[in-house]
Amino acid sequence: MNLSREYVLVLWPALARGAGQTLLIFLLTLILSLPLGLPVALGGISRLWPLRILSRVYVWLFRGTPLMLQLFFFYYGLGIMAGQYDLPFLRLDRFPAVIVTFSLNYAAYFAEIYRAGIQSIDSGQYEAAKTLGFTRTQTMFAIIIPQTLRRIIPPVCNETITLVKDTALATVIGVAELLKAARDASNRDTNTAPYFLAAAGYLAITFVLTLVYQKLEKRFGRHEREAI
Amino acid sequence: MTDYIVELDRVHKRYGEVEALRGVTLRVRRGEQVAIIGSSGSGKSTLLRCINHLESIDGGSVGIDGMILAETVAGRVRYRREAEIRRLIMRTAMVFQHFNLFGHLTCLENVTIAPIRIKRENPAEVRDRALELLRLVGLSGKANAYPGELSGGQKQRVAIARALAIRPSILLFDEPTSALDPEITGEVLKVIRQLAAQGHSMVLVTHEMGFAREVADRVAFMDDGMIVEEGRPANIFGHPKSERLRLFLQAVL
Repeated sequence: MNLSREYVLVLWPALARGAGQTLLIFLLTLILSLPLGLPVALGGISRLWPLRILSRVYVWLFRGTPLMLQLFFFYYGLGIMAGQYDLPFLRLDRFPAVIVTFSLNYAAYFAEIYRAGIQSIDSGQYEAAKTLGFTRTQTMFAIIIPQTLRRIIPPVCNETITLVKDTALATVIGVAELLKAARDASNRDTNTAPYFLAAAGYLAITFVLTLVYQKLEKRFGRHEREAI
Repeated sequence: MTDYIVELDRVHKRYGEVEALRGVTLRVRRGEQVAIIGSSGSGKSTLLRCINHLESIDGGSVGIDGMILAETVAGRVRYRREAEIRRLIMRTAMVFQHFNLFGHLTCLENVTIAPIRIKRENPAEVRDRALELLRLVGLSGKANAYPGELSGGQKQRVAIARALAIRPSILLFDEPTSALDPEITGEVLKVIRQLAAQGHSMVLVTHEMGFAREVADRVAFMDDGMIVEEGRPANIFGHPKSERLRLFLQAVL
């Protein structure tokens, strides 16, 4: 292994670009999947059974199959279908395919966390809101969801840390994220140092995230010092 | 407008095979305070919850402020449409055994949220009124505290202020002191006593016999899903007619 200053400087540009891609996949996936999880969660507890079925099937499909398979499907599978059925809009480039797959996949996990959070709120909250004249929708958005925030922050944070590492899967369809950059360098130079540097990169990202989450938990914890 | 704020007529309620209410009739006049007593499982809370549609009735009728909320036509219970139900039940306000304050909101926000967000009243006016209500229940200093920072008695007093904030025609108290330590029930009872003295209409489901006797104009004794006996407190507690009431009073007094 060569971890000399000169070698690290040679590796740095490619690894930094890779880390940039990793961060971009991470952020875009979060921006899309965090909100997308909410309608899926609400569908899952809806009074309308078709919505419930739809939501549960969605969650089942995306949690029940490997993320890598989903990645292959959205990149290669849709590409093949685009050719066979003459539907060119189905063909996704590598990067958009990753974002679409990850967002849909993580939305399913977030939806389950949201649903558990919503269902953990005491029924007395719904009753109090109802007697004060709230509709079901008003109750959900003004009373229930704000109170789930603190409870769902730990599991959501946990999930996002998994996402940091899952971004490495993008390498299987050739997206130049951090792991791919490290592997290319390692293969080229027959050297294990790039892997160590990549590991340091992932660790740095998850470390920063952990700090951010601690802040978040403190901030949203103010009103729940004890049970209501 | 009729004299009655709440009119329950031959109300039935079933939970599966269990008949929780077996044809209960109860009318509450404007300005009247009615206490409902009875052992656990007698149907008191269920009856109260049928007034504001927290439970749906299976027979009979419910009227609020002279308007029908639900009635039985040709053997089928018909409720008003959802928006109308909501408007009607806002003429009532409930104080719960377990407070059910909104934990993510301060005391002040708990009191103002319904008038501002639901009734669309002027926020500044609502705020002033809410602060006045918090003063009334003796919690001026806690306006910006969260429910999690309060004692049980304080929570219940905020809950009473929240109920009053929507200016209901009648207050429904569902065992308001049952979840409190004995030494702090007094502070909640004091507030309820004050409201009764001001002539607020109320239905009070309670295990506090002394308090029921003191504040109520009328006491209804429930057993096994029916009102067995009903009358002035002095008669109910002093001269019970039915055997069941006699036994109940013996057990609790």
